[in-house]
Formats: sequence, structure tokens, C-alpha cells
Amino acid sequence: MSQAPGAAAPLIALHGVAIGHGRRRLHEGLELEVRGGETLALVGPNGAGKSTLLHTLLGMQPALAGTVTRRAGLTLGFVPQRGRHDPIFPLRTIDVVATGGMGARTGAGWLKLTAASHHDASALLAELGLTDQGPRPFRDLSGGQQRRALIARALVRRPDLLVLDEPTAGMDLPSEHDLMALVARLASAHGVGVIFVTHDLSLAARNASRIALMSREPPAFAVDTVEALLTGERLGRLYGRAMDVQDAGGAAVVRVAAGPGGAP
Amino acid sequence: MTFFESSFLWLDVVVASALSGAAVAAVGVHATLRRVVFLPAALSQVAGLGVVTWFLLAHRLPGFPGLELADPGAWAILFTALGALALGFVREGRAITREWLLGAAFVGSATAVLLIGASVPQGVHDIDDVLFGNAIALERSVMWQAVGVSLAVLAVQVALARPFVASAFDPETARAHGVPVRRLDAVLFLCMGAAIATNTRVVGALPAFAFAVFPGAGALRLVRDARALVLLAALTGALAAFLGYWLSFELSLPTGACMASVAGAVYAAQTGAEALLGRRD
Repeated sequence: MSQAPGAAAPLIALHGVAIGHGRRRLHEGLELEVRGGETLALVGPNGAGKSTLLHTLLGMQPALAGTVTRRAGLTLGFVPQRGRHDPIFPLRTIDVVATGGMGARTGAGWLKLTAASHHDASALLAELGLTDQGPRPFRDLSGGQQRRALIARALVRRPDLLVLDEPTAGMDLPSEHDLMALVARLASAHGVGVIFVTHDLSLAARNASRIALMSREPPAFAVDTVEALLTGERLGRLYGRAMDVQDAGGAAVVRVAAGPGGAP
Repeated sequence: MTFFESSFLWLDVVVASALSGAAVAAVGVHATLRRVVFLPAALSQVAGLGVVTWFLLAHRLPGFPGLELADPGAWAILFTALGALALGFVREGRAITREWLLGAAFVGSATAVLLIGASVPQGVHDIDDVLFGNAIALERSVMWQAVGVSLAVLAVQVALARPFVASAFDPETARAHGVPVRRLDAVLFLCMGAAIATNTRVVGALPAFAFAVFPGAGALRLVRDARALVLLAALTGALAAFLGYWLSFELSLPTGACMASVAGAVYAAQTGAEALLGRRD
């Protein structure tokens, strides 16, 4: 089992979990614990089962076997992939952020339908550099602004665990840097546990305290520190291509190796 | 006799038309946002299936449970609500789109209405009277049924406007955050079925479809808040029903067509207003 450092009870834990769809199992025997204050990157090739694992962690999809344990009263904040929102919706950005209050930790199912206050939503928009964007329709924001507004929506719930699905996809470098700095601040200063899915191994190496590597063929799941998992040999097996992991001023840079077995 | 002097003739039907038109317009906001505007059209045919099924059972199996408990109109509401749930929850596959399913429901129900209608003594015309009313006179019991169902639908639509919109805007996140998305959808589709069946019985299929299509789309052009969308659409639906009835009286034109025309004209005016005011964003 891979455990995060620290003695605090895990926010969420998988024990002997099988994930998949219907009778089709993608992975079996998964062991994972995520604690407050740590940042876990979930990486692997397309089709490895990252989204299925994410949905199982979020409770949107049942585990096919094993147990998923969430800390009592755990509040999750979720940030989906970009580009999934139909522009026919005319909602103002501040209203989109406020909807994050729905499904809060108290109350029965029918009672969890109250949005957060505009005051709280405005404060988060300001913190994320969107001070004047609240009244604008969400659909009119740029991709990066939409991403930050969706993070504000997840944060307005004051989550214990923040889950981000490809948070920096399509972002320019400064926006990516600012976003990951915010995520790091949430984890270190506020003790929020963070899980983010990414295809960018260098990003994972720079920003995660641990990494979960997944592959489908053959089915494999490993959780460990960046240094232990991000090696050329291991990544080469995972992606079926020769991979280079280089140290660039203390930060790992991962790329497909040139030459035989690597980049064409 | 002027229109208002003859109010004793039309008051019941106009009240029922306006309230049920408002209810359909309110649910029409969500049909537009979810891109299922043909759902109301399919549901109006499913309502007919409920009516002919009642007549068929009364003719062939007079002791069938439920026939005496509820009239054909109530069966129409029941069938439509169940149809709305089925059509609302069905998932698209690789070979079947939601549009195809709506088309199949429309054709299947319309065909069944004609075939069953031809085999019961009352015939299709009598069934049409029960299903569509005549927008001129309305039984008092039908009027009260329409008022009750419409007010209930409107209350739910106003109270849950924001959760309905939020769960449709981003269902994945809503589910991850613990919002009861499927239960909300069930309530919305039940409301849709009840509103469509009721309005269809009072004013007919054409204006019911018009109320589902135009007021919601018009509101989307002018307001940004979920509850304001529902309220503006409902007001527009009620206004279109009333003005349509008045036009029909003054010009001696078909009532349903007048209501649909007014709903379309208001939508055109709202589109023009949006263009004139410019984007306020």
C-alpha cells in the first residue's frame, strides 16, 4: 500500500478496489490513500482508466470490488475538463461560481440545493484574478478565465479534497504557473488534499508530492514519490516508447527520447 | 358584445390557458437549454396515447383498475409524465440519437392514437375533443384541474430553477458535489409531462408546442439568472395565451394559431430588443 507521509487520517482511501464499467474490470486490487496537505498527480496514457478512477473516487461510479472510504463529513471540490459547457447557457460567472455551494456537506439530498452567497463567490473570483468578471456571462470568458472560475466554484464549498481533471490543458505558461501555485498554496497553507489528472509528466513532476501511474496494457497501478516513479525505464514501459527524464535546475523534464524506440 | 363584456363566456378557458401556458413556457426554458425542444411535441402525442388507452380499456375491459378513479385527461397526464421520464432519462447510443428517439415516440404515439381511435366506439374526433378541448368552452372540472396542475408546476419551477439549471449546465460536477441530479431530472421531466398534457388538453397541441419553444428562447436572449429566465418565460406564455385568445375573438381566427402567432411575435420582439439594447455583458 502506498501511504502519504503524516499521521492524519486519510481523506479518502481505496482498499482492494476494482474499477471498471459493468462487468468489465479495468484495474483490480487498487490501494491508495490521500491525506490533507498532499498533492497527488494521476498520470498515464489515454485509456489507462484515469477518468474511471477519478469517478470512483468522487463517488460517481461504484467500485466493482473492495472498499472506498471517505472521511466523515468530507467535502469534495471538483474541477472538470474544460470545454464541456454548452454556450447556450447565459449564466453570469458569479452565478456559476455560486452553484458550487450546492451539495454542501449538511442536509439531506433534497435540502442540498442552496447556492453559495454572491459575497463568497465574489471574494474567490477576486482571489483568482477575476475581480471584474462576475457579471459577465461565463460563456464569454476566455478558456483560462473559465478554468479559474471553475476552480472558484470548487473552492466556494471550502473543500477538504480538491480534484482537478486536466487543470492546465490549453493554458499558456504563465496561467499554468499561477494555477499550480494556487493549488500548492491551498495544499500547504490550508491543508487541502489535491488530486489532479494530467498528461503533462513534467507538470506532475514539478507540482505533485506523489504520483499515481496507471497503464492499461498491461494493467498496472503504482503510487510513489516523483523521484521513485518518474524514471526513463519506468515511463518507457508505461508508454511503450523510450523516454528521457532530465533534471533542469531541480525540476524534472520528461520527454520522448530521440532515436530508436523514441521520437520518430 | 365586446370581448370584455363577454368575459363570462371565456374567463374559465382563458384562466386555464394562461396558467397552463405559463407552466409549459417555464418548463420550455429547460427543454431549450437541454436542446430537446421536440420533447414537448412528442409528449403531446403521448398524451393522446393515454386518452385512447383509457377509451380502449373502457370499451374492451370495463372493469380495468383505475378507469373509474381517473378520467381520460388524468390518464393523459399520467402517460405524458411517464413518457417524459422515459424520454428524458434514455441515453444516446452510437446508432440512436435523442432526436431519433423523440421522433420515434412522436410517430409511434400518433400512429397508435389513430389505430386505437378507429377501433373504439367514440372514434378519433371524440378523443380529440377530450385531448385538445376546443379552446372555446371548458368544463369547470377541467379548468380547476388545469389550474391546480399548472400552479404546482410553476411553484416547483420557480423554487428549483437554479438547481435545475446548474445540474444541466454541468451534470458531472453537480454529481461529484453531491447534488441529486437524477432526482432533479425526474422532477423536471414529471413537471414537463404534466404541463404539456394539461396545456394540450386546454388549448391543443400547436399552441402547447409554441409555448414550449418561444418564451424560453426569448427569455434566454434577455436575462441571465435562472429564476428570472423561468419567470420571464412564464409571463410571456401567459401573455401569449391571453392575447392569442383576444385576437382570435376580435378577428374570428383559429384560437390555437393565434396563440402560437403571438408567442412567435413576442419572441421576435425579444430578439429585436436584444439587438437594440446591445449585449449588456
